Amino acid sequence: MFLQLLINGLIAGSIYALISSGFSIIYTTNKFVHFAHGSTATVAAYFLYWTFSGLGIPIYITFPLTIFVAALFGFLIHLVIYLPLKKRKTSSVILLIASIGIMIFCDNLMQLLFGANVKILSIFPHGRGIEFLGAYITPIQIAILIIVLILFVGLWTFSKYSRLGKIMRAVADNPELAKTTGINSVRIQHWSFVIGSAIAGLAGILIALEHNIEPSMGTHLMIQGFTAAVIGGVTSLPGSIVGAYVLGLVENFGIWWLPSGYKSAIAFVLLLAFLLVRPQGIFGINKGARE
Amino acid sequence: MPKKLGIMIAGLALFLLIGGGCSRTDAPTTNTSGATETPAVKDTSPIKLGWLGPLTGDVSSVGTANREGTELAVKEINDAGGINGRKVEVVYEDGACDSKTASNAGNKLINVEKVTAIVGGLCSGETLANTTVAEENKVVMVAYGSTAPSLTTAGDYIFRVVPSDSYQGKYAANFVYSTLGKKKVAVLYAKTDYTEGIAQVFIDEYKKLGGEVVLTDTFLQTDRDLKTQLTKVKNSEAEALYFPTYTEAAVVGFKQMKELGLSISIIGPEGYADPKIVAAEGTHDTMYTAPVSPENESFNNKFMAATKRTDVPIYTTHAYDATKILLETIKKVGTDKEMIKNELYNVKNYQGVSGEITFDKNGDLATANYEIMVIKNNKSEKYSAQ
Amino acid sequence: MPLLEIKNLHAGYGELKVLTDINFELEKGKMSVLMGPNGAGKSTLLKSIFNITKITSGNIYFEHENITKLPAYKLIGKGISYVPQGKINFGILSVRDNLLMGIHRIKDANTVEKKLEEIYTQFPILKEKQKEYAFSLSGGQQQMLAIGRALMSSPKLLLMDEPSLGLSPKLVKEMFQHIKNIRDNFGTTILVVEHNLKSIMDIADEGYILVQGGVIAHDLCCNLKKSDAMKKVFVGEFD
Repeated sequence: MFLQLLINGLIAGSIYALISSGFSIIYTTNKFVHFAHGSTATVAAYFLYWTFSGLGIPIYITFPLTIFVAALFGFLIHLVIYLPLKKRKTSSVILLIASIGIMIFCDNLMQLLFGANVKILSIFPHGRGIEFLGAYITPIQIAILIIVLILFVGLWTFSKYSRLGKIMRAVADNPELAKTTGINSVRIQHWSFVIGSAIAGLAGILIALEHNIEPSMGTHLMIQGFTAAVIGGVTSLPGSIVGAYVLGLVENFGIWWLPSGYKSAIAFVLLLAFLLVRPQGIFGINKGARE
Repeated sequence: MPKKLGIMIAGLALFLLIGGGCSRTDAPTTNTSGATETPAVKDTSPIKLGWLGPLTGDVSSVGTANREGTELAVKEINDAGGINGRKVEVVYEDGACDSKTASNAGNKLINVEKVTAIVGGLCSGETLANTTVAEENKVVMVAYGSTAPSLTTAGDYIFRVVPSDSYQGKYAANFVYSTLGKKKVAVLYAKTDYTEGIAQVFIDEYKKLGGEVVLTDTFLQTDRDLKTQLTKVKNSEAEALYFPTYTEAAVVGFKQMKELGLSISIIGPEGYADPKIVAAEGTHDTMYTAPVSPENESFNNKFMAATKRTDVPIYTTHAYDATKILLETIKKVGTDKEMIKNELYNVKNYQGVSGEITFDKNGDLATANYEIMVIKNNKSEKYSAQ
Repeated sequence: MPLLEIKNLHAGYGELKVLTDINFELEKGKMSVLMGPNGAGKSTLLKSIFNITKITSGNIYFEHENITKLPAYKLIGKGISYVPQGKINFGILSVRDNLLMGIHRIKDANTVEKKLEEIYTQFPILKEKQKEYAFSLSGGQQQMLAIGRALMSSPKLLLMDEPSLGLSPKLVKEMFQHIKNIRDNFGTTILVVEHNLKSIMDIADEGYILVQGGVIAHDLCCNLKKSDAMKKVFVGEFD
């Protein structure tokens, strides 16, 4: 049972990581909570459903197209709603409220267009998992694990070593100073939404394949995604992925002894604990009083 | 200070508005019915009934068909001239198999539409959410699918044409223990009125019979990942799994059971008859209890002809019967709400298309008969021990 | 030819008017000091050149080009670098990455490496700590990093806002020596806002005294040192 719970935890963690990493990129660069991030994944999932099941477009076209649409979606939200608000120097609380408004609007729009019933995407057949030392794992789940691993490595390298990655960290750290070193902060913020939302698009695809599609799917995962980002450290991109795995594993092993109804409670307790004891998260840097 | 007071008042108003999902009672009145129904004054205004059931969400594939059952009954009455020269009108409201939505829907029917009586709901949660407001307003509810034991004592105005799960749960426990011979069982159920009710009955009876419940676990109606719970089931010594759940979570559960390689017998309650579950992956050899419904070919034919459907989903006959019984009672005693309620208790051996209907002193069916169905290759058929 | 010209500048923050009718000229290759009591508007003047304050009227010319309305991030490309006060570095980036931020537009690795070496030669401590997080540096080291970064782009004009703030006297001496070297070795025009007048007056060429948003004195430093206005500033009479 241990091995199965471990696998379950890693799969859950992978799905949280897909949400938390994109969210983290947007948060660190823009310094406000973009709650509608989950809706980006939802919109992506429904787009995939519409193009694949509805229009019959093959997956080698719809998969990349969905990711592109998700990136565009996030970019437009920033351009049309957040940017004008930022220009008026509104506080991050107002931006958070705006993001909640967007989230409610999008989720309801999806429900209006597609109905509240759960949609199933039958692209890959579901079957008995592959047995591995007494535990089962399906091909889709293996694919998710591998993809998230690649994402992790990719984000780490991008953030630490690439020019754009360093610039994004610079903007996240000190936007005023960034301006004076010739960095176009607004353009970097655009990039953060494009990249973060593209990852949410990928999340939408994988979650649709592994579970199914519902209007509230992305928003439900935002809670865990947000918790994962806090646990891993909101200032650290790879940290948000590590935090996601920590959450996934703690949830699944915690349920070993506790009734399964406590699963969500575990997420909240973990969130609270970190906020109280180590708010910078596992990888977050506590700059202390020096700066 | 005045500004703060204003904010507090605004906040209170908002709170009340949101809390308005709870029932409001109107002044007890029978304006639109009652006194005006003296035979001397010929009233030709339509009789207004309410209908409540899941038109969206969980079990909506059943609910939408049940609605058509009611529509068929109403059409037959209206085509025959209505009731004492008055046409029957039905206001259909969506309960979404969810307490909150159903509560709003029921409130709308009772307080806004001012219906005379309600056919509904399907899900126990839908019905239970409205029992208080129905009682207070003396609006009869005839549920056509709500099986939770707790409805028995929900009120004088609450009736149902389906048996209480206190029967079904026992029947299932006996089947698993005696017929299937499984002495160790796991019970995994959704946290809703219906599923929790029947799970509890099952557990009590199973233990009484001498069986061991090696594991009980739960999940939410909205959960879409049951891997953890199923992993625990797999790891327990259970020889069978009793799995009361609504449709969406069921579909997820069966898929994940297959993925995890869980191969013990799965038994469920009558909700499994939902076509969406029958058609789902991983349901082969799953068994479920179902109320015995006499095969009524003539009803099936006229229903399928009227709706262009190719089958008659579960509880459609019950919705039809509930509607017919209500309308025939209204024909007998008029639209006085209290008189309707009293007359319903007199229903005995009514030959409905769903079976024989007799209401006991609680408004429950006096008798119940069940059988076991099994899903084979995404089709339901009668179970036979081989 | 004056490198920088400021004509009739009025600027402030929101409703607050800080600078009134400033007229200003910087000669190429010279170091000028901007002095005055607190709140006189010295930092605001630097920020105006970088367009991060609200300029209500007036013009700023750099090499005869009107840069008044140019967004801040384009000024590095023109050859103006800025070492601000307060949070002067990217704390969570390494020392080396901070320096690279100063030259992030240049993609040619060789040019970048060469420039990096130049700065390391001038500030050896930065090479020693190149892999460490900027926030872990001491006050003096942070100042050097900030200057180093500003120099990475080989600026024609270097603006500095109170570089000696919070430094020990020994470090201040070191700091000003560095600044002197920058002007002497690279020919960079420097405009520095300073409170620590004793030391800076010895190396600067010209000085401006700013009081309540207006220039009240401007002269070569040697003359300014002995003037009355200077004495008043020194004594803090304008504070």
